[in-house]
Amino acid sequence: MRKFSIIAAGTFVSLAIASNAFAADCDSDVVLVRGSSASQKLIEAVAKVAAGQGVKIVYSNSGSSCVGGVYEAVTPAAATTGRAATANTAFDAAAPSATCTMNPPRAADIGVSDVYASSCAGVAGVGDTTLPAGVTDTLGPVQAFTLAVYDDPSFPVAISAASAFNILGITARGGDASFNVAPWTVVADIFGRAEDSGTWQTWSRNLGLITQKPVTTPAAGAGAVLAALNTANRASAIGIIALNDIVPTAGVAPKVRPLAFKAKDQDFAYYPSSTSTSSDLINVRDGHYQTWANLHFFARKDTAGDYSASVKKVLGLLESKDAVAAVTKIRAVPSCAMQVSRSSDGGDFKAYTPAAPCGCYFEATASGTAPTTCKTCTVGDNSTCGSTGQCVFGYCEAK
Amino acid sequence: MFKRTPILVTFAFLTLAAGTFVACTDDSSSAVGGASSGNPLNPGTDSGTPPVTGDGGPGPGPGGGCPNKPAGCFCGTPTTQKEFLNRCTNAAALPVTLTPKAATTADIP
Repeated sequence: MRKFSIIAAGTFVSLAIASNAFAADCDSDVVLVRGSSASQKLIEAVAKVAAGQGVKIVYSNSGSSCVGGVYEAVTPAAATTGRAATANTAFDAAAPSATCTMNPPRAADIGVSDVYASSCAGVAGVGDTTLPAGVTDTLGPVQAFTLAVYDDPSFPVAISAASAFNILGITARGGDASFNVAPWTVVADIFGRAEDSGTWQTWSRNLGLITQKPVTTPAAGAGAVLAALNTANRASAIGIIALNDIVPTAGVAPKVRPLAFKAKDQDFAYYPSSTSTSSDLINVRDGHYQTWANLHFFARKDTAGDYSASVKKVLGLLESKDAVAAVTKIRAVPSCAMQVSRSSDGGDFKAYTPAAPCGCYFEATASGTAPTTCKTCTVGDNSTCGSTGQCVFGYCEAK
Repeated sequence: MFKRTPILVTFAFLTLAAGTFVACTDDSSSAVGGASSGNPLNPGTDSGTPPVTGDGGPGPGPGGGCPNKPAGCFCGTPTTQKEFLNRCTNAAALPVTLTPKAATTADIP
């Protein structure tokens, strides 16, 4: 009986390993999206909406914006080097958690980056970042990037750009210890990312650091930073991570929280949202929280100047009501809810008015209740919104 | 008693007006930072005005008016980065009291 149990257990393990190692080939009609680890949850959100409309997205986590999204954009589609063939996450309405393998490896249909292509120049083997003819850059949802710590009430709640500059620049580079900023004084407990990471590029460009000198021993990805903050010497640990990576997974919230951030020339520090516990992300949206970036969706057009039908559908979904709701729930900001924009990573803000603003719907979805200043309306009927208003996703917004 | 009322009202009005003027600075200067310290991030501004916290809610959006906080905030229509960053808001505004040593990228080995 005991011998049988051991054999059965061994068989089960063998089958499990085999299943994982030999994922089925991906269908030929999938939309292959390759991009940064920070973008994965956003892609998942969009992919679930796309799956409901018959478009299957396969996501390949390249680990970084430059190696993934930008490489895919600037490298000719016919090139075979650098194309990932490892098991990917497939989003199929019939099998939402399936994985598959690109066989043979091929160029992604959409490369996703946290940063502009130009930010990857000279990084991780990416040379010229000029987008080839026919490759477009569609701005997607906005991610807030945070300096985060373990969630202990005795730990600091805010940090200034000057302190962050020293922590990520001086201390972590093994420089003069006099530049240290308590309690983040232990080099081994400062968790940055590699230079090809959009998270690093965004922070370094906003702080004025040298973009190609990331912190020592960068974490392998967003998940690694999250895990490190949970397990390292918590009192002295700090890391850079996208806000949408600090969301509950399977109902369990990570014990990590973002610090309020005070930018250069700013008088106070601000959380991404109006308070540490709210979810309106108003400070990202109106320019009080400095460290954010749009996702970039790089896609190729054919010689006739058109996207493939499925790619066109995916790009068209980015600002759909379902995608806006999905993106909002993972603590990112759809472009339609932004009030400021920027044209380079770390660049200055400009006032931004979307063609169809969705601030009311965003806040209603994020917090469960629309602000009292928001007025409901019937989609397609602008009459209740006055001469200067329009009905967007069921709320009156500025025209 | 009846003679004091107008005086008190006038005093209250002037006090409120002065308070509003002090709280809301229409600083349209595009100059950045203060005296040059060699640190591109100007650590000299880390401390100063007392904390002003809000209880959430939307910021000064279209038609939302100016909440006149935190202290020294910018009430107008922002055009510079400094004005965007310091625009009046209902959001929680936290002071940062850390005073790191001034540094530049030249200090990074």
